[in-house]
Amino acid sequence: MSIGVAKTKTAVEESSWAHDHHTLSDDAPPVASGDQRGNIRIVPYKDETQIGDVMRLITKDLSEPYSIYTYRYFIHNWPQFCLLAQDSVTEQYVGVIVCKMERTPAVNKMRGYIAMLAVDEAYRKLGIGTKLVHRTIELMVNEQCDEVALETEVSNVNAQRLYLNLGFVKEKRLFRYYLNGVDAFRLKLYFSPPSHGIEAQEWAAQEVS
Amino acid sequence: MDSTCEGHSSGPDDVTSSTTDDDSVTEKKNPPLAFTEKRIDITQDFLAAASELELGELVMGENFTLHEAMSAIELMDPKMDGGCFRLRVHPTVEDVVAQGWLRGMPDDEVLATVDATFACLVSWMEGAFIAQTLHTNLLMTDPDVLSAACECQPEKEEKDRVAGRTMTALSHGLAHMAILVRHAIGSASVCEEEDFAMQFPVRVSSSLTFDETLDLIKAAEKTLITVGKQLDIAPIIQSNNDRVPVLNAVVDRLAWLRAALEAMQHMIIPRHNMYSKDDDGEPINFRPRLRQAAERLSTAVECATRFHDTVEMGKMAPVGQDGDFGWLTCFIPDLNRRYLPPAFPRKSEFLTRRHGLKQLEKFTRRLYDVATNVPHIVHDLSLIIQYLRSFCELESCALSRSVLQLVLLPNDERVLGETHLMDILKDTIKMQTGAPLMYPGSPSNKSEVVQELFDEFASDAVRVYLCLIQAFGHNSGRQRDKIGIIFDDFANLQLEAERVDQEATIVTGLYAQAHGGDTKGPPIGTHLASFMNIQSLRLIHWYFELGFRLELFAECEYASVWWYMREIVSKWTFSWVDNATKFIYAEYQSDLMKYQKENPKAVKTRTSKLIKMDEKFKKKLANLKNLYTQGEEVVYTGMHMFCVGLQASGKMRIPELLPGQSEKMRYDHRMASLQPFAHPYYVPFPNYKASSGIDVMVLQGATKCFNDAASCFKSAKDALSLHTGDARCLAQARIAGQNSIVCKILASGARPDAKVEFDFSDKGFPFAPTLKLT
Ligand SMILES: CC(C)(COP(=O)(O)OP(=O)(O)OC[C@H]1O[C@@H](n2cnc3c(N)ncnc32)[C@H](O)[C@@H]1OP(=O)(O)O)[C@@H](O)C(=O)NCCC(=O)NCCS
Repeated sequence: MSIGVAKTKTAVEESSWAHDHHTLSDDAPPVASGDQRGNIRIVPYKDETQIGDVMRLITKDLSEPYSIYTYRYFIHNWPQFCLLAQDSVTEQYVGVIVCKMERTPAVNKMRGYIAMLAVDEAYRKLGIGTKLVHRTIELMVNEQCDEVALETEVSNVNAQRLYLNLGFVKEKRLFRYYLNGVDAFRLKLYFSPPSHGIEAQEWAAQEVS
Repeated sequence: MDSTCEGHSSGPDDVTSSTTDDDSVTEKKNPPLAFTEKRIDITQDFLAAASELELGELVMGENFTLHEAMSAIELMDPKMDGGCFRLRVHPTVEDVVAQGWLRGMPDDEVLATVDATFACLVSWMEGAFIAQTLHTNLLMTDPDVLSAACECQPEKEEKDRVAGRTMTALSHGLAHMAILVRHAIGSASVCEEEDFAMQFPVRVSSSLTFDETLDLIKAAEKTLITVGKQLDIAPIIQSNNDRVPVLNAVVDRLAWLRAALEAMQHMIIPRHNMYSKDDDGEPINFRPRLRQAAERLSTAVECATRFHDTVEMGKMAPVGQDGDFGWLTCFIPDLNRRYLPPAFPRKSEFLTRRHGLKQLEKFTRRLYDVATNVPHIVHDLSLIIQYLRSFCELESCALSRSVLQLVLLPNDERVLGETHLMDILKDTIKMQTGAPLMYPGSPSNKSEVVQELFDEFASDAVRVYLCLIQAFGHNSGRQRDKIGIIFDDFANLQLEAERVDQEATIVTGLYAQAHGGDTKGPPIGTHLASFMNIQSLRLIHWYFELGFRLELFAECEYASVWWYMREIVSKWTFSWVDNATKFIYAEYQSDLMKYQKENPKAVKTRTSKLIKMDEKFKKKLANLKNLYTQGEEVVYTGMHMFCVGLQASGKMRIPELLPGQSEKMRYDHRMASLQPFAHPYYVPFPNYKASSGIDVMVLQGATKCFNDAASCFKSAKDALSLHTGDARCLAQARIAGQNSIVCKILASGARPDAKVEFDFSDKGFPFAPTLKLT
């Protein structure tokens, strides 16, 4: 999971929150053995009736939950970048991706940001996560995206493998990014070349904020 | 520090200090909210407006950002809302003393409490909130009240004073320590909120002066030793025998605290120094007293070394887990909950006593390292940078990095508060290339134009180096970002250096023309440029090393990174060091000739002056040799070839989301911070492709690549094995040997399905992983 509750800084990328990606909550997972699993289709977010499922899927991998405003902040502003994976037989939602995209004023780049991604445990390693990310990136590229960013815990090797396979690079390591004391990697996928001195500008802008 | 110590919360942006003012820690003192406007009931309007909203529709003000969204809590959700648990009334420090907790406290609990408090101190120093760590020990929250309460209830017998004395000393000592730590970290300004939490939600203070506190700790140590002696002489009951080592262990902790406090006081510029001026209005200059600090730290290290073996003598945790120390009488884990923001995670990660004490020992050793080694490196800028680098490798913490910063540059641009960085820069240039423009009487030394250019270069360089030294104080992730930005300045300095060299060459040439070829000193060349290029390349080297240490590179980037390390960093470093070596030879020759001319008789007898000249020359050569790591070039070549082999064999996929573009995009961004250097240190992607010949190599097939890689590793192994006295070289030779075998296996096709693993676990060789087949 990428974002965290901000402590005192304002930017998303600067925020931190304690979560432990591998701590499962007590919620019962939807049971689906291999032969019960149907085809998976990727569907766009429709309306608030799905928010419960979105939250259920994401919350499972968090030790501390996001408030409903966090979900609504993203989904209300960028509904087009929220996709769900649905089992065509059980009609259960088994995966979700929540993103945003906006122009970063400091460097004038259109930056997509993957805030949350989760696939139900029973449905992992089937390529669903990759498909969700890939589809979202396509949508972002259609809207002239310059780069896609996200943060992930250094210990979350599953997520890293997924993203690196798609061509993301680990741009930097953020020291103790999460409140549980774990470092994060900032991963980025680029669709436009660096402008000269861009890093410096961006860094200076971050310093100011 | 003569005044009593006090720390205040860190200012208006301090989220947790809202209930604190200078004199009070209670909420009661907060002024009541003043409502001046007339209030109206909006319930009906609100409900009407809300009924028009779609389910889930969000009405947001302009300034409602993600930050607000995420900080919002759902009231009464127990996972989010800290306020949905009732705040309990906790005992006060006075209560604790009046109820005799301390009198009755067994020695093993005293020891466990001290250790737990130290562990909390470390948790705080490593970034946790003080209110959730150190100040969960009730007795640490108010040293003065504790002292007063203990005085009101004097214990008649020495043996009953152990806990009271220990806790009072600890409480005052740690109050001074906390303020010193925060002052050091604040002054060095190399930390951000993720490194260290500056806020003191509850005032930290002790009415004792620094010296009085040291005396108090010493007196407590004495009490414990006396009690121990009495027990030793009169072991009335068997169990008394067991008390002595426990008491000694507590004495060690107190002695550590005293020594560490004193040492830090010798190293850190006092707070009042930073603002006061002398009679002439000049800021008072502080010089770290490293000899005294080293003495105290050697005691502190000695004490800390014993922590490890004595921690078990302390009371055991009930279920074998230290947890939040709530099982110790003086610890109240949610003591300060009311000072924390409601959405704050209610549980903080606590270090165990064992782990905390280990960290404390390491920290003490790092400070000792600073106090003993820094005096030997401060005459040479390259050595200073080298030391800062090695300090980062030592798992340095925010505090030790801050202390190092304050020791190096306590007031201004004078290193150790003594030598101006400018002088050190000039000495380093002389040492590294022996620039003739600093040679007294040389044409370029006499030329105003050259000297003006040189002065400009030198003052720019000082400014850049100040930034660089500070960058090294940051955690390695941020340090790398900052260095990436400083490259811009280094590129500029290189240009400036070239300009000085050019002007010096012209001036010297004109002089020589007019004086029958005499240059009045060593021949002129690209001295400053050599110096600056070596410096830049060393920094680029470190930048990539940090990349490996931080595990930033994806496997698909390895081929280009290792190619760059070999083709650009290694080769150019070698070439510039070679250049500098020639200058040093020329300088030596010129000095020798000059000396022989002036002392024709001295040629046959080796005068002390000649011997000194020789020594200086040899030292300079050795110094240059240190700037280039033997054997690394071949290792990089091997790694590069190997990665190309993996690509050719399909074992390493190069992701191409946008065919023909993705790889270039990744490369361009990865190398973007080198752009200011331009040619030759910045290599555009097409040039990289062309000069590495990587596409051709892939076409030639995996077998050839693996075979070539194998012979590179083999020759690296052979070359490195020759350095029989150098453990580092031998270790690297072993890795190269193993890698060569892995390459051979892959070349032979014997294990077509084997997966390759790059094992970077040997931190000594961040660039040279061990290759493994699984
Ligand atoms: C990270 C996460 C979203 C990945 O979801 P996923 O659907 O399992 O991901 P994918 O199936 O697309 O890819 C994962 C791996 O499975 C492999 N895979 C894909 N289809 C497969 C199949 N049919 N058989 C076997 N493996 C398969 C992928 O190749 C990839 O691994 P690889 O490097 O070995 O090739 C999921 O593990 C998760 O929800 N984790 C918890 C939340 C989290 O960490 N989110 C990310 C925050 S940044």
